[in-house]
Amino acid sequence: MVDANARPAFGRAALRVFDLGLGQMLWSRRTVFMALIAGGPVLIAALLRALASLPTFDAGAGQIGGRAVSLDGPDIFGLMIWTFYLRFTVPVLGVFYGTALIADEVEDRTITYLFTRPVARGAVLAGKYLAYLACTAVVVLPSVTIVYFLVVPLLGGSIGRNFPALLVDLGLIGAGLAVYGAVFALVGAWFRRSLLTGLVFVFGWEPLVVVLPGYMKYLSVAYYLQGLAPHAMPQGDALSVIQALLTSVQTPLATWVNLAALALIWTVALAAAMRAVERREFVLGQ
Amino acid sequence: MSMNQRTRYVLVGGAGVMAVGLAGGLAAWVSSSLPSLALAQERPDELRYVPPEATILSFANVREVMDSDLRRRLREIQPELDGQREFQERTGIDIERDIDYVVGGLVPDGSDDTTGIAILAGRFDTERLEALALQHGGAASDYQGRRLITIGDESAAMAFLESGVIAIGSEALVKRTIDLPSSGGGVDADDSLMGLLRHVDSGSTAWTVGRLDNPGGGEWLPDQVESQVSQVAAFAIGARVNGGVSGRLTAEARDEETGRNLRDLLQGLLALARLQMGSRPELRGLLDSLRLTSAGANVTLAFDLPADAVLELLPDRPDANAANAP
Repeated sequence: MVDANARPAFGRAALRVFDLGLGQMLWSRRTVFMALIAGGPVLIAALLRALASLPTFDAGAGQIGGRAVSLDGPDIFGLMIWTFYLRFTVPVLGVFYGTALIADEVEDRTITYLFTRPVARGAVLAGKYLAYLACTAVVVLPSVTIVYFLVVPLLGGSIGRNFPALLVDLGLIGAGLAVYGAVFALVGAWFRRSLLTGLVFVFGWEPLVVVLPGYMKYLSVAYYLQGLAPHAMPQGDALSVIQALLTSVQTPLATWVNLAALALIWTVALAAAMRAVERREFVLGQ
Repeated sequence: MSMNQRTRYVLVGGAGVMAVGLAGGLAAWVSSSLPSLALAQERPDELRYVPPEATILSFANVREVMDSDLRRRLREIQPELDGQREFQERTGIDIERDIDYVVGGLVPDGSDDTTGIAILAGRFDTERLEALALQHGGAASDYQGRRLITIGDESAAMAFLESGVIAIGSEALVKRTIDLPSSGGGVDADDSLMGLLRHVDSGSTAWTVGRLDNPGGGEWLPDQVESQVSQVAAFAIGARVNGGVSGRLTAEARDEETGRNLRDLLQGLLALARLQMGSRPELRGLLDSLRLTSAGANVTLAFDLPADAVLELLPDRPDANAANAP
């Protein structure tokens, strides 16, 4: 005989929450925002392709208006990965979705319904986190792939020769979404003003500490993530120039150290977030 | 799973885009990895005269350089290249008119040193060249049916390999060059070196490729530099000369991690140079034209210098002399 009051196993419960949460997350207003920031690079890539079809653009000779250009398609793709995805899309989606995993339920006063179900509170967070990963990955990773095919063939670039770098980029962006999501799930479970805290971390703390000498940069996600990027860092602003200068005089971390650091941050943040959700008393405001 | 139809469509759509993209990319990668497609730069026939042990290989389309707009502008400032007159007096060869292109190679000689060989293709008056060499104390002889002229003091030699093709280098190396067609062929059969031409754009006016990980590969470098570049396995540089100079230098590091370290080092050096641009304004054109990229173990520095920026870098330009005048 089956006990109707028995708690389902953690994994089963998390999958059930994932199933419910994915639909909610995908059809929320936040998805419009995500579509905009993931669609922006695709639009820019399509514009570049349209420009490439103009008569002044001699792709075979690598010239625009009769003048040779030193950038080719793979270079432009590398710049787009850095500028649009690694430095913006990945941390911003992590902040907006990660902090909302629990905060939205508190704000909508629906957390009571979730927590009175016979499932572990941690499974609720785990399920919602998985839904966040699926929701962001299904939008961001195809966007990267489309940008790759639109931009890399420009100015004599080869889709085939650069394919391994695309795989690294996809892995890196996936890892970034996972780690930032876990960190901000913890922030969302812990802090009252979680979105503000997350934005300060992404746009205040991280850009600053990665250019400061010393050990502060180890307390960021960006440092380890950028250490794995297969493309050269763009140097458009003063902070990037300083970062490049400092990066060159210090011994870079080995690939396995960067990977281990990201895995550690992910594990600790997710475990701490689940523990915080299990233990914290959520007080619903008036 | 109880997800609704719309959600399922989005998931399937996203996964479909990824699957198609990855399958297409994989197919392109497999086809681009085939050796027959790997060489972007055409090979001059004269490569067969460069010994297969060569670690550095160069090509320069002298005719294209001499006819270029950049050379025309340089000629106004500097009518003759450094050493051009001396070379003509000693060999009888006018670089401006006689040579179409040059192929060169550096070959380790087994004693911690390297020797060079240059194969010149163009229009040469062999009788006049021989007479001039003899006039400078050289000696003429026949070797394997080819005319060989040695200049005793410097153990240098010149040989007429075929109509319009001469080899210049050490006597031993020039003799080896003459022997090559009957003893297994030249460097053009060495895929590890020739494969580096995939980093050189087709139609480049000049290029140099080299392996530093072969025995004797870095011997030609000064000791200090050799230790600094010990992590670089190979390099390729190609440039196109016309209104200006554009091209790219690619370094193949020994592994991906070393490649990233090398990229970071170059990135730092560029950043440092940019910070100093205020006191060296003539470097602005050069620095603005540099683009550093990397993929895997390969680090590429692309450049695109307009003619004005090249002239800015010349120490002998008239405005520089005026500026330096007391």
